[in-house]
Amino acid sequence: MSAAPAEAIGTVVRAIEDEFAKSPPTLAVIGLSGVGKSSVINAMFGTRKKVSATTRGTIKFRSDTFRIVSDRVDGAPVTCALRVVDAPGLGEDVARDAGYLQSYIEQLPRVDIALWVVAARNRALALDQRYLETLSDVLPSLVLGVGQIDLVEPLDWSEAINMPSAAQEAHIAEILADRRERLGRIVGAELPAVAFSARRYYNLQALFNACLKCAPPRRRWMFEILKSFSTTDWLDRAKGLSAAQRQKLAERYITSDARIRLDDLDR
Amino acid sequence: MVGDDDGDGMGGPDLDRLVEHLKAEEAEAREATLSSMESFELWVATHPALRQMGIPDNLAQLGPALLEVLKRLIGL
Repeated sequence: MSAAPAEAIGTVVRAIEDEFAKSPPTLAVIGLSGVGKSSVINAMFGTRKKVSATTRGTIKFRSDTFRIVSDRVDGAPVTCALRVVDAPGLGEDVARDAGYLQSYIEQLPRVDIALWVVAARNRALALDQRYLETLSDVLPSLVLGVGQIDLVEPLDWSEAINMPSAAQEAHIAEILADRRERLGRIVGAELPAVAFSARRYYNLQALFNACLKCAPPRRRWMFEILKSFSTTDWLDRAKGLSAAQRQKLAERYITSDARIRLDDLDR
Repeated sequence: MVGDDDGDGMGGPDLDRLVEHLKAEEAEAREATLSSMESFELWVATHPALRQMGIPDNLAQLGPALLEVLKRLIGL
């Protein structure tokens, strides 16, 4: 090795920043209005996309690039970027859909990951099927995210452990199998599908991992650097745990979000 | 409070479910980490400027401490 340790770190950081500047990782999130697309992007990548619950947030097809400074190692911030492609109003107004779909057709061949989000409680998939059919020729590897599972009947989410109740879990499994079959049929392939709740940080790891597998092999690490959540975020929302229990569980089972300092190199 | 309070503060069916899910979450995180590490190594190995500057394609040659920093840098 010809580079000294500190120099090597600096070299790699500069190369990483150049790569993000030159060609930011790109995620397309597709789905009808109100299914929680912005919420899942915000939860996974720490972005600040506006979430509009009752009114249309924007009426334009968007391709936003977020600048994100990763500080996973103290003393070595890395400036990154994430490009997000989405049409917040898809399905709201038939007059606008043709334009949105045309924009997707232009953008999708250039995205790394396409995440199709449906709301678990919505059984009517005809619009999703129609859009999927229109876009199937240009879609890269696709992940199906079945979101808002905390709102599945009988609406008795186990707040104490931040998980679906047993009754909800059974219902969610049925929903997942159904949506996977009905949308997979359109693309003629088995869709990787994950049930999740962005609000509860439940199953975000599984969703993130499924997305990662769809990214081009040489670019998967770029998403990892942008990941802004860990298992701790889910565990912290389990309201029935005492502080001691939470700490014990984290010590025993969570190894994925440790931090180190550059000073550790000297020890 | 979840589980019994027998000093350990653990136990009960809810806590068992939680622990199972916790293990599943961490397994997913580990799998993603491995995939990303392979991806990063692939990127390094094919990056002309890094090769030119003496960054080895086999990152393990950097030594364990530096490798650890690099892994953390990219969230691994």
